[in-house]
Amino acid sequence: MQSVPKIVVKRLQSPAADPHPDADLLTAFAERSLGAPERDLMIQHLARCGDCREVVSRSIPPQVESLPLPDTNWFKVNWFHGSALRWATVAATVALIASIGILHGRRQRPRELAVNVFEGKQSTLTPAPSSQPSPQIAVPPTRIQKEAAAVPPALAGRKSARPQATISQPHANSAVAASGSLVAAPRQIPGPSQQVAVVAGSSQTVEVQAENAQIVTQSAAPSQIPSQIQDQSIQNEPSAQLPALYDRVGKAKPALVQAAPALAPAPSLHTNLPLTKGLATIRWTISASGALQRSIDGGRTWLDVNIATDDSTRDRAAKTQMSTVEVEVTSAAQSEVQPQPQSEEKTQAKFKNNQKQSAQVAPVIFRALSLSSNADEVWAGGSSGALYHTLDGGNSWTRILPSATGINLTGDILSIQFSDPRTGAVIVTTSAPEVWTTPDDGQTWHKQP
Amino acid sequence: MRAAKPISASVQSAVSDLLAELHDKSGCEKIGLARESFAVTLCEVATKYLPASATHADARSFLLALRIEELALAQACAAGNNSAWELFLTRYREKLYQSALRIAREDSSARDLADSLYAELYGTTTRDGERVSKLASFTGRGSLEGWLRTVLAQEFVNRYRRTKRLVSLDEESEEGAQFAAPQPEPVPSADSRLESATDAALAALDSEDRMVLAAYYLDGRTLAEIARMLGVHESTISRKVDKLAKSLRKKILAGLVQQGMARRQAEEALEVDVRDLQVDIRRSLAQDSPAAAFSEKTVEAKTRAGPAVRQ
Repeated sequence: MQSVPKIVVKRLQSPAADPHPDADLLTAFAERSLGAPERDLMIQHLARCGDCREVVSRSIPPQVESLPLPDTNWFKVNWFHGSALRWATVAATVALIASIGILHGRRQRPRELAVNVFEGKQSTLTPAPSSQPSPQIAVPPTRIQKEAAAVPPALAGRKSARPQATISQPHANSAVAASGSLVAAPRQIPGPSQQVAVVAGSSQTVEVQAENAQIVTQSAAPSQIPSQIQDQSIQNEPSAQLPALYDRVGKAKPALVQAAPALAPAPSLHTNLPLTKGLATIRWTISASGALQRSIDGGRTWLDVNIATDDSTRDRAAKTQMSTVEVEVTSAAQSEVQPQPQSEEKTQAKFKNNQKQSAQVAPVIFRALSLSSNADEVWAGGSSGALYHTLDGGNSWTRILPSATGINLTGDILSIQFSDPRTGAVIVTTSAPEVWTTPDDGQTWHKQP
Repeated sequence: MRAAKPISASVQSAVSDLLAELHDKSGCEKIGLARESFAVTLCEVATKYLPASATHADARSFLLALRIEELALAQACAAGNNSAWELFLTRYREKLYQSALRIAREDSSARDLADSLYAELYGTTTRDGERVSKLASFTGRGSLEGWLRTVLAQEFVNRYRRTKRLVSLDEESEEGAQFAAPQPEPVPSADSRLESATDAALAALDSEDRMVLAAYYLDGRTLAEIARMLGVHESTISRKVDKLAKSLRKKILAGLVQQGMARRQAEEALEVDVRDLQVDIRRSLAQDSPAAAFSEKTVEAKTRAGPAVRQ
């Protein structure tokens, strides 16, 4: 905030010349029930009387919120100058990414078709990777081609089903005319509001993407497709409804998807693990079949946690990396985009490795689970005395074999309780029945008589 | 009790017109307020606020806008009616303490504040052997709850000023005795040209703009607080303060140049003053403003013994 010269502050301190208004008038002013002449007089007084300003400020009723009056200067903002346009671009990009995310989330047939058109095309342009496809990526080439062939009628059908997309188009098919109308479009927005501006801005970005899509699909698909997409991409009127926008976003997506493998590293199923870890707390559960599962996205998807530790070594140092086997991640992007061959092989190798490991170790059926308050420290226990402990939210696990004076824990573990989370004291109950306690996070154990 | 202004004919006719309606609305019967005394109260209130030139229609709309029920309750309480007092207590007792807490922001002084107001409301002071309640001065222009808040805030500000004065006197003697500090540097540029240019620029301001400036730079209020006082959005105030500060600066510079100062010199004169602005405001505010008793509604001639700015 600007500072003012000290002399201004000094000269503002002139004493009020008139008597103070009484409490009734001050109240009425604070409650905004003074008439205009009285209010003016009051403000004149308040401009000069610090005491009354203090009184008014302190006696403002708590429920009188500042009224969100329309911001008159807002209308004067020139949207095609400097920062306004920059922010609009940023907002448009965010909106575009968000809408693509939403569209990914829904497995809708039209979108699937659009993606498959792209994939079919890609398979004709670039030789398909010869390495064996991973299970979730397996899309037989024959199906791709079949669906690609099925697209033109479908798109044509949609064109006729939604005639306003083409009828309201006053321009010729030239892309230049389209971009011309784009620049003019936001100026025609009837009632300026930020949301409208964002929509208009995003349509701008979408248009660019859609042109890419047009280029991409031209070589592969029959001639109906380019014309259809062009029709839609040209339509940039401010009156464009939101569904139409999403529709175009859906079409534009293949272009984006195609750009993605070149720019970003090949998508791997595990890449989002560290990203989302900081956002939501990890949740743990035991499935009906006795598998330990954790969720890093607040419970929407659950991943099996395979605690593959070396049973032969009994000390805590034997920590192996937790390996997760993807179970039910349903992100369309991950299953439909082909990863680059290299990383795919890596994924395959890892996958096989995990399978080998889990084949050797007899599956533990978990029955008990206990978390500390921050969910970083987890105890999990189950069949035949299997007891595991992690201090880092499940990234590395230690098999714990409680024993005291030569006696080992026996039976299935039924419950695990933190008796004192601060010191790490834990009580374990088994089906034997036995009760084991540790005062120090599993370093030493005592069997209760 | 009230300003002894002659009751105009238009007010009288409006009151007699509306008396039946307002009397019904006020629920006077329940709290034992006679119709005649209520009419007198209405006349007094209208006379107090309406200009002598007010028409019958003005008086009518004024009377209809009053918080009639709360006015009647306050009057009945002031007259010493027990059922009215009970009603007042059930409705406002809790709110009074809560408001005091919000104003004083500290429990013990809030209780103190609320208790002393209670005493005044009940009327411990007597005049000619008669209990005088502060509630008698309530006129129903705003809500009774809001009025109580305002009275509390006035009392709080009065006390604050009083203690502030004591503290600052203490500080002064302390400093004088223990820290025989060198005289503070003379305040730079008490240039009469700068003062007159500033005064001219300030005088040209709209009252509301001046109020916003004073509240922000002098009182140290936040933008949100000022916005709440004026009932506008915070961003409006923010823009206004920014704009005002810029334009004031420009105007003062222009005024200085007009008085024959070189541009550069004028800018320097302003710049010198900007320094340690933040340190100064509160201190000078605390020392300069004399405590004015709100209840007396008089403004003493405020003499300022020179700039009381200590560095």
